[in-house]
Amino acid sequence: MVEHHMHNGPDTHNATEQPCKTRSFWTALLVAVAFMAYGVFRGDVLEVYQDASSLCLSCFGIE
Amino acid sequence: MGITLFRAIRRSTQVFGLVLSNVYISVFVRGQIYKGPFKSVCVPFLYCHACPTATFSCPIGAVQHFMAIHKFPFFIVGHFALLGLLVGRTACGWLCPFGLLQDLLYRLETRKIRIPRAFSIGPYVVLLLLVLMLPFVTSEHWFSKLCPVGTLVAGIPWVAWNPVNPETGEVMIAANTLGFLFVTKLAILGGFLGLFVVAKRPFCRFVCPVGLFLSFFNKISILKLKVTEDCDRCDTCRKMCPMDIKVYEDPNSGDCIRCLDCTACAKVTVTASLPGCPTNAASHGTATEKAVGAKTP
Repeated sequence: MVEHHMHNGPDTHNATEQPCKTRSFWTALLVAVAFMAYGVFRGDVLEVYQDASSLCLSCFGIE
Repeated sequence: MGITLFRAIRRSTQVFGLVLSNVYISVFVRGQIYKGPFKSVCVPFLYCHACPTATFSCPIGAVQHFMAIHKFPFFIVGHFALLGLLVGRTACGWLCPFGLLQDLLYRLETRKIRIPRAFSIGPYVVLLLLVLMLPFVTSEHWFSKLCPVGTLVAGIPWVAWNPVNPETGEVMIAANTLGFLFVTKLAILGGFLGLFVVAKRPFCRFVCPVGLFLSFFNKISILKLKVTEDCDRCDTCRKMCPMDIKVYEDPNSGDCIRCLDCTACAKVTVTASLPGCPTNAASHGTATEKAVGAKTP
């Protein structure tokens, strides 16, 4: 069952750490999206494809 | 929702992860691995892209490739960070086929052991040494050479099947070509399979580099666990937890795979809220009686 709770005002337990975590989250999100965008621009997706679509038997100890 | 039904749902999604990773059944006609566009997409867990029926690529295989060609894997790091920020290690608990194997083998009735926490350094060593440094220096995929997942889903199936290569007309693996490495890989796999029976998810806890990367985001991800103030530390959560975590000590531990088995205890709740909102503004629990007085240590 899904439930929703509404409280009056912020949780005082987290009053000091919350802004820090908020900043960390949004900064990390921004960096992640920027990395993805640059990776796509640079051709990382094609590089992943080329590596994954070739069978490396030597990786399994097959000479 | 009862724990039995809840676990059945999670088993179903784990089986779905296994099926999703092995959609390419045309391999049995063509005798070659899939080379279509989905191979450019990494699954959010460890699964060898050399598996005969693999549809997607392995993130760690891809990262090693980038290290070997001396490029930083921007796209892979970016999209795994995004995944971690949204749901943390949820893919480990709900999709990973190797996690499913560990969960199932641990259910076998036998004497169980608890592996010391000191081995938690394992994933860091594996990531730094086998996935990043050695491939960078030697241009060889060192993690892949030892990975038990690859042995199980790719090495053994290829050797057992040994199809005729349609391009050359010869069998893929000629006689007497199985080297020392193959035997080593079999021994590593055998050791892990034995360990899976007696210990809780040892590969996830002490080896897996994918889980390690996603674990960095558990504390700031949208999905979180909370423990109520009146928790009496009865250890029910630890007994339920496939990662052997004391949830009351750190509900958002990097080890947590968000399987939510611990929410069988009424003192543990799961919430999903965007950072910036008051912590308890939008709380989604699995039972109505749970969220009162919840805290985030």
